Amino acid sequence: MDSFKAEKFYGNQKNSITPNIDSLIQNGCYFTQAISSADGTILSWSSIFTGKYPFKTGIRSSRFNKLNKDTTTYFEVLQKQGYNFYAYLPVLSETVGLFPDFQNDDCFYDFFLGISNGLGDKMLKKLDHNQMKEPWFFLVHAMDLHPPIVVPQEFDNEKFGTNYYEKKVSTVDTWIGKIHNRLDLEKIILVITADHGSYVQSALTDDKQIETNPNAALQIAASKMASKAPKALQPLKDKLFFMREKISDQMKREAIKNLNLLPHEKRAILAGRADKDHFLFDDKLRIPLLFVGKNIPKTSIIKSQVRTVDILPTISELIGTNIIENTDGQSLVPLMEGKSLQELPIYLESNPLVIKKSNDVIGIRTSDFKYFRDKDDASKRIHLYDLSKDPFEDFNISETNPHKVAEMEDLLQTIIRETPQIENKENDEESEEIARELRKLGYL
Amino acid sequence: MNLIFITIDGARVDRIVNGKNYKKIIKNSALFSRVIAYAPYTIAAMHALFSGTYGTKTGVNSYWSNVNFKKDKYKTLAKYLQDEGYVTHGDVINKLVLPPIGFDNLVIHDELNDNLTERHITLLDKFNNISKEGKKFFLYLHYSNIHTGIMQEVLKKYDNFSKEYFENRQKNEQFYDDLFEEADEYLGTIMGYIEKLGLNKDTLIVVVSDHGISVGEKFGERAYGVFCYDYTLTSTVIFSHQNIPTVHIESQVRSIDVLPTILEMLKIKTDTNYERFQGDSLIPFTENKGIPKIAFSQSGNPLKTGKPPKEPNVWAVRTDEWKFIKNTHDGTEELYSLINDPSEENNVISNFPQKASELRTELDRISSDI
Repeated sequence: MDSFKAEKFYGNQKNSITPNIDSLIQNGCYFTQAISSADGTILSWSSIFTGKYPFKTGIRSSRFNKLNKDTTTYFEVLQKQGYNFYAYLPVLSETVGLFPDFQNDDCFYDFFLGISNGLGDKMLKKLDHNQMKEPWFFLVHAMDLHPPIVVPQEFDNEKFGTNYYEKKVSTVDTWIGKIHNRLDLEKIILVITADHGSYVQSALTDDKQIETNPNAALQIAASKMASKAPKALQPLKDKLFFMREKISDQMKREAIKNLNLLPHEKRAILAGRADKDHFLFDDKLRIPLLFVGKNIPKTSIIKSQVRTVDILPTISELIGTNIIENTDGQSLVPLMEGKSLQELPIYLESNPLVIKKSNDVIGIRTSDFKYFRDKDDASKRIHLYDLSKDPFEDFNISETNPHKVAEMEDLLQTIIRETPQIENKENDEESEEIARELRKLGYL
Repeated sequence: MNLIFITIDGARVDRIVNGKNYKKIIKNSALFSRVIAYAPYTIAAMHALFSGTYGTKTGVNSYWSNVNFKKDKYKTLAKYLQDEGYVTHGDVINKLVLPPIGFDNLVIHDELNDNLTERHITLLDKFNNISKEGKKFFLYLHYSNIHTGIMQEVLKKYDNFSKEYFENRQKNEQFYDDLFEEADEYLGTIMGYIEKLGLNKDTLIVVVSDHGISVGEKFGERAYGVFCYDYTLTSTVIFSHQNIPTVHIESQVRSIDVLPTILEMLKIKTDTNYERFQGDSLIPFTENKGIPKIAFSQSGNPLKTGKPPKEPNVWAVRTDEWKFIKNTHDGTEELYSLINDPSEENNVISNFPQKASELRTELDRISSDI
């Protein structure tokens, strides 16, 4: 589920109605402190499906490099075990070289599809009609919670949540219920997670809920229209996008100028897709991670910090396939079985902007501290947060804690130095063009 | 002398020798009916043919590697002719299939919508006029509609392991025959038009098939580009001109021999600024003096990935009597006695270890020459 925030999936910050998610959590293992290595989809995918930190995979973004040819994906491992792949993925997935050939022709969809507006029906059809050849791996990436978020009229009521995001979560939950009903969890493993979290543009102040979620339906219509425009108009489209974001930012600043907001509330409301300065706050990194089904103990809630790179080794152990060597992850099965497991720091990086250069950051997170700084210069844009005392990351304590900063920088360097960054030797644009031509000839 | 080079993409030799129009052409030409392709798919096959050199050396050894062609090291047919002052033009199925160097124009046709017969007749008219201006020309015409039919009805509908395909051999044969018949009609019309224009008098006409196509012979290959068996590796070449003797050569030759043959026929000297091609002129065969040479081929078995690999994983060497195959994807080897077992059904590698060893050495020798 793209952009699903952990605290809106489970816990005391959730105000949605989610009987189906709750039931699944009760019948499986839910990790409350699962952290994505990246705040954007492409880098996060690279990490989830290879078990490696994004910078080791070769993938940088949807328009830049693709998966390094020496990097093994989990799909390759499953392919050798005879698995059949089915998927519903946004169309940008084609560009990164991460995914296998899926057996369903309709595997790539328009960017805005979610389980509550079409994808759910497609999934039910696949599951109902037993269309998938066993053993199968069914990968679904749904965009319900990715901005712009449209709340269906029947859920646009405060009983379903205090803001648009929570109401949409209630919507999504009904679909999770429908899908769950079609799954034989004695036979399969269901994993629900997210690529990254999200900023919810809403805050409660003076007992008043303020929201700056712009007209989502209008935004979707504008984006769809832009996507149909000829490629030659790309610079103009980009310009219009930045103009729209600028106007939206001005309106949001105007709306909150007299409000007394905490730093995390303010940054959530002001966050925009065209922001040049990137950060690594938990809003965008903390994701749900739920395992339920065959071989999964019903141990319910696990609070240790775990990472997206751990998902692959965990699935490997659960279904008994070979574990890919040299991953950064570790199997979480011991935690599921109530055993102890060393908690490891997690490497973090922000997803670069595609259209123009962004100021990106890299960092480290432990259960207790979050540290990040400029991607290219360790002395710039330094942030340090004491997560145990300041879970919303309101107070940057880097200046007063130079020793902790140095300690976290050491941890970061250890990970960076572990594996030299792999240079992607292939000319990817060229390779993509060849693939296009081979597709025309019917060879792919 | 001009050159018109026609590729009938995916034409099988067993159909060619019985084709109504093919037979008319063969009656007055030199036919080589056992030309072993470097690769059983167009991209690598045509790069080898155009450069007279195996993909191990030129860099084009897979579906993906046309961009690796070493154009500064290996001089192509088109480049030779361009340097000789020919006006050069190609009409091809796709930009990947030929090295573009040496073509004044290399135009991609739409295999799904263009009428290739009409299109190529228009080109013949155009080049007839160029010829009348006293200029020499090289016209490359690619007939792609066998591929089109196979793409639409086989590649898109089945995979290499679809039982439905392999259990319907008769249907596959019939479908292929229909496609071939159209190709044969195309060739008849084009050759007739060349004659009508009178271009044949001062034009060498070369008609090749780049590779064969499966009709369901071997499970695991629904079309081509997977294995290295004769039904896809055997291609053909016809040289047609009044000065060329009418012969039918059944001895094995190699697709890399086509370039040197054309150069000799057109009296163009080898360019010593480039690496020498690996092929040898076939003219001695037309004078009954030819010495068959071992042929080397490579293919890329996609296995169950549905995607051709980026490096070859099936390697083969062939003589008139024997074929040795090395499957590098699983380490297995195969040996076939082609005289006794032309359809390569019985792997006799354990019965003839000495022959296998000898051919393995040859395979290693050729493949290590990079």
